[in-house]
Amino acid sequence: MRVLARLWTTLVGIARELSDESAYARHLAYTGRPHSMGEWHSFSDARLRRKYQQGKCC
Amino acid sequence: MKRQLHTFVWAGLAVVAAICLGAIATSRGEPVNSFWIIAAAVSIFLIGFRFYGKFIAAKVMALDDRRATPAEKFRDGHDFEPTNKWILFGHHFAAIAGPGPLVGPTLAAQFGYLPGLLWILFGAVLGGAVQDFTILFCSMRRDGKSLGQMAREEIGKTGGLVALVTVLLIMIILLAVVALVVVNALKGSPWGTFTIAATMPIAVFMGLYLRYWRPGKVLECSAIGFVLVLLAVFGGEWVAHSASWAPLFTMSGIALAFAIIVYGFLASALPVWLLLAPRDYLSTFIKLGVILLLALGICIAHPRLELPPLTQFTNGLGPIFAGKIFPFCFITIACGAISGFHALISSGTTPKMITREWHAWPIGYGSMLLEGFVGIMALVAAASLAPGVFFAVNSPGGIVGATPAAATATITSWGFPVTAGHMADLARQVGETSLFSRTGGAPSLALGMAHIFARTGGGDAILSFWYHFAIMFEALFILTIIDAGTRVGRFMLQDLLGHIHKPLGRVHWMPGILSTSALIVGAWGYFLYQGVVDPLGGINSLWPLFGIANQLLSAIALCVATTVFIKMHRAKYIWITGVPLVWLLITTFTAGWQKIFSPEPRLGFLAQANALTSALAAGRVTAEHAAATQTQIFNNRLDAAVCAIFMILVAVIVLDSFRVWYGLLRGTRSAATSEAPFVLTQLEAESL
Repeated sequence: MRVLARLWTTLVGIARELSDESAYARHLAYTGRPHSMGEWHSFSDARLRRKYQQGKCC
Repeated sequence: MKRQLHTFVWAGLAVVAAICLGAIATSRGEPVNSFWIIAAAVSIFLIGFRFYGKFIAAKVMALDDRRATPAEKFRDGHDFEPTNKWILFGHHFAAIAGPGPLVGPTLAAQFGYLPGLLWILFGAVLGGAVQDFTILFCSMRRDGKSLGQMAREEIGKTGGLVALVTVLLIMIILLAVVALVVVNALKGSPWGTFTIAATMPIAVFMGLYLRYWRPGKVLECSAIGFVLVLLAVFGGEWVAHSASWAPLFTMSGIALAFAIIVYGFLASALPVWLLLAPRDYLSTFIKLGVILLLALGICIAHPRLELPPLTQFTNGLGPIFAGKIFPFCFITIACGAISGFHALISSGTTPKMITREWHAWPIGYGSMLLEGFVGIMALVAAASLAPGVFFAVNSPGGIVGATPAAATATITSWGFPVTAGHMADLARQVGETSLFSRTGGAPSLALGMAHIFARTGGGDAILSFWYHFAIMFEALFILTIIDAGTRVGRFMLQDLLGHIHKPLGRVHWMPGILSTSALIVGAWGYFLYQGVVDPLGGINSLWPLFGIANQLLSAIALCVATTVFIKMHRAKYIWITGVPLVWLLITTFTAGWQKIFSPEPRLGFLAQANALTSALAAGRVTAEHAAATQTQIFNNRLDAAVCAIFMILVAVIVLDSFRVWYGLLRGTRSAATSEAPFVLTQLEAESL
């Protein structure tokens, strides 16, 4: 059961990392600012700008 | 006791691998069950990971968990962040897994299943995983530097510039060839075209949802997007049967090519949050989900491989692409065995997120083996089709004949019986009007996957759903590569042109955005158009060109890794990167040479140009085809020139590397390296 729980935690962790939700949570924690539409916009714009300066793999 | 158990388990796994390979090797003239292949692959990859990967990590790299990684040293909550090993493994795997390991093995199955299988098994363990792991290590020890930066610092200025230009050129060929795969999968298919067209408004809806309605809720938004995409797959069936809607979505190859070109331009020029990013989130989750589903499907259905281990097309006269098994099998399967593009990922985001140096072993080496396993699954899916069906779907009309009767007669004469009636039944079963000459690998892979999924649950009654689900999956993430790649190409071009005219370098200056987007889209769009109108199917010329380019990028990466090993005083281990490097140089330069200079018109670009020129001069081309023939002649010469440029660029960096290695080994050159100094980690053991 513990193995399954760990597997689930890892899968959710991967999904949150791929969806940038973890990165956003880190951003909020790092800056100490609360979540808001404007905060998401500034985080997302900067992250996506960096993300799409690198190619997708073939 | 624990040590004895450990030895027993690994020895047992080695015996399993040997038995499975033996079963494959001794099965002659009868179909092999995919179980043997899957078991052999799992065993060999596990053994390679445990022993070869660990040997490199411990003896060559001397990974040290006491050393602070860039993620710890430069922690900023954004790019640099110590991340759980398995989460980063999933993140890295999602980044390296593209259409290459699915399409390449499918195309290479024209040689039979055995060459591709062996190349993936041994290429991934001894080449691809080594490249990904060593570049990840080099970047991690250099504060997360990119491949281009490392090439410049470790080899010289020429290396950095060559790497930049090579990447830009590869990107153009890559985008053209993957777009061609989508065009060939969707042409004449209203169901598939509708489904993919529907993903665009769905992506825009997701973009608006994330931007204004539920900011930051990416997982929730992706789940909604997935449901909408599934509805689009179901809706596609209705469209295909609608007398008024079906003609709207029944498009020719040329019309689809222009639609994709316009899409690429829009995706590059529009705000990234509106179209590109939501599609990317969605396609990443669907990609991982389908790979998992395929693995489960193969385990449950364990289909028989209907293709023979070797076909007569090892002689170089294959219908899908021309060229002998050596070197073309090793060029056709790049991703899945060894892919230069992975070096860009391994020196991109991943090294900035590694918590501990030893995590690079599963992330760098292990992820590539998993990608090799994806390649094996694609090979199984394609080889589980009846050979006659496989060749009928993948062979261009210019080779086998334009009518069903002619095509089936040609393919049957090769010893792979198939009838026009059987192909018509199959097309009806999957909801298509025809499956002939759907070159590019995607439709045959979708057919194989659909059969596996249908056998796992639902039976033939839902074959058409699974076929279009598989097509949607392939097209969706290929289009994500196209839009992201076009954008990246635009940035690279703006970076270069900014040195000539400063405003062009500004990433927010609209004329600069539009002009550079148009240039990049025009470049890959031209190659795409060339592929679409090519009577030999386009894949015959573009896929090998892409394979050569990708493998040459890998050669650059291995040059960098070899240089670093020598500078680390690990010269006695340079065979680890040196052997795959030499192999890649031999195969890619042989393939490149043959693609340019082979006297066989189907193989050599110049020979084909000359044959067409002679036909024109002799009056064997009708007046209405004269202009198209002139274009074909130009295209062949252009392809030859592009291939030659790739080879020259890589020859420059390889010779430059040899010069550096010679100096280092003779002691006439300083072994100064750009490796960051040792900093003791401050992370607590439990935070790892």
